[in-house]
Amino acid sequence: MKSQSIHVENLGKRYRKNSGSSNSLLGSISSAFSKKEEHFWALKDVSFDVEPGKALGIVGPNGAGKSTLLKLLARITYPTSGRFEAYGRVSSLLEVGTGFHPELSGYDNIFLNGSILGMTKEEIKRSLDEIIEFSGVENFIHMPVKHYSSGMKVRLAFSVAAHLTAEILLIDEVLAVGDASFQRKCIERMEDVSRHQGRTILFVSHNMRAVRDLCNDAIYIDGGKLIKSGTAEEITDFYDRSLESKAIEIKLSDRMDREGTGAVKLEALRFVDPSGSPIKQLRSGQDVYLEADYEAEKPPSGLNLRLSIGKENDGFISALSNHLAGAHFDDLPKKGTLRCHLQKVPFMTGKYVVNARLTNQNIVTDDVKRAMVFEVIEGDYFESGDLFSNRRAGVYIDQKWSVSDRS
Amino acid sequence: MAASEQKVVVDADTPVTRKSLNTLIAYRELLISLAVRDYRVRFVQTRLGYIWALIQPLVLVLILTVVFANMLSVDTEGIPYPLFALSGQILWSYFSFSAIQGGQSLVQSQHMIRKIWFPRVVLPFSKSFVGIIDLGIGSLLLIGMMIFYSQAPSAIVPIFGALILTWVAGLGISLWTSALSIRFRDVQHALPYVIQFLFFLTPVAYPTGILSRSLPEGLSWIPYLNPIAAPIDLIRGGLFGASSNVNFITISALISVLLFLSGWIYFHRVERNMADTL
Repeated sequence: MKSQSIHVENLGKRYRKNSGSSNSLLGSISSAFSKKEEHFWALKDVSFDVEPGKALGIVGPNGAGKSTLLKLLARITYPTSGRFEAYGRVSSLLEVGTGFHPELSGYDNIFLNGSILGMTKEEIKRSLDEIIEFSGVENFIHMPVKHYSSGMKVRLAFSVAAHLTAEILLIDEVLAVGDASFQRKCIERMEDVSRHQGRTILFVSHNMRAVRDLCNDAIYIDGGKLIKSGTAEEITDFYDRSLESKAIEIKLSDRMDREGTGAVKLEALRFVDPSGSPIKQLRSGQDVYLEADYEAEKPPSGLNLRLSIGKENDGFISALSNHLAGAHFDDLPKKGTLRCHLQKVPFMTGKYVVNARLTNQNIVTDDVKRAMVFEVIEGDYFESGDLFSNRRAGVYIDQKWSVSDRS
Repeated sequence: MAASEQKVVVDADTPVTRKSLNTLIAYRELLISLAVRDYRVRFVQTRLGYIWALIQPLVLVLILTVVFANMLSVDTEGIPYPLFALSGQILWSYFSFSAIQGGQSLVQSQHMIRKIWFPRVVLPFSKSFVGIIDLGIGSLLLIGMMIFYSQAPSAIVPIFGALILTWVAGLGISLWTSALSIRFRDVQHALPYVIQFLFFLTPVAYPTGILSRSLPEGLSWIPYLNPIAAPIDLIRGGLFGASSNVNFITISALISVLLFLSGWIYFHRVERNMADTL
């Protein structure tokens, strides 16, 4: 057995920045005259090794070069520099159901899709029953795929992919289509593949939990460079921390990625305790104030601040808004601070992302995504001494319990 | 398992065309799957199904017979005109199918190219196999008509030569045009027209002699710059013993082979970055 399954050496990929114009003959002639081709490295000098049977997580912010790396390893595109060696067949699940033809039956599509993914006819035949069973579309298997629901299509496509016989599997996040339970099923199947069948998996994801569950090791990529490698635990923690530091580093007032008219802008968002000193970490049940500094071109009236609070990546949980709470402010100063009193922090243990939107007389003047990220640690919300110990983002609901006698 | 011994090495500095033929052979199953898919979905939801593959050549030969044999009285050296036209027509339609469909195959399957790796050359090749089934149906029709006119082929070898050359010529064009159309979509729009114009310059409905005789003495080889001219002359030589000029046929055949080889090389040169340019 070889000591490594994939060996990557100084791999790099360079793209042209202005490649859009040369899709037609005229376009390429005109761009030949302008001669200002700009290049950028989507990936540069990346080296790592993966042992057989191991699962490697690839994490990093959007546009860091993760997908480029996967595309290179999948041979969809060719490197500009460097090299890699892979021992065994490489299959990529960058998208499930590639090559499905709507007019063909599910049965025929299994063979077509399988051969596109690099399986031989014999191999497909061997696992045919298993594929059909895993997909759960037995009753419709001889029906053209165009009559399938989208969920059925995804299940069938995934079950073909899950039975791939390649030694190395490249999985991009897109795999995580469908509902949560189906995603779970996919991850479980992948775990089974890597632990019990000794296959090597490279897994790109923004879902740190999935990376921790599935992978042994991980690498962190940013700006096309390999920043850090280590165990999945280390790297996912590093990822979480780097997201926070990014949010803290950039002052809200300096953020350029905002929408709205700009007539009233959000300058800062912070939590403070009743004495007015800022708090870094909240505790469930704590008495806090949320302060929002704004600056306006002229004194605003009818200002409404709306803060959507949700989980990392997605998922709306709750919102704070002064109009919602019945507080209408007229004749405000040009520069001021809105203050929201939360007598008991209702959030459960976890990390929360705040999207902020300011409207003045129903016109959006400022809209900032990820305006703030905050973390809540466990606290006794109900002062009952009983803690709801679960690392799940959510809110406590005020509740009163009683009992009545029905006998 | 033998497959686990497989080792994939990708190096930015390796030359381009190494081992490309082996890879194509290794992916023959995909090639066949794709060809079968194309053929099976072709007549889905039609009433007549595969009969359409018969109707098309029949109708065309009928029209050609009315126009060229009855109205223009073209001289076919004693060969019954429907036979003469059909023999040219089946080769021509195979050629144009594989050139046009193959030429559009990459852009058509761009979703696949962007998502997974496989030798891209499988796509134009598979189109050239899809056309073979039509060619087979056309050939059956031709055999039937040969029996009807009680004609026997005079030589088999030129017929096979004609079939292989048609395949080579169609692929030569489709390799070039499919690879070019990745960067220049213009090619995709121009190709069907160019092929249509080429039909009039190709001796399908009339003997090659007519074209050559219309040119000055020293230039009579010019019609044979057409890669599909040689196969048509060859098949008529093989089927009916029609006369032909060996030198001219060689010119046309060489052009086919050159187109094919240069197309193969060009295709593999741009193959690496197809997913980026699409």
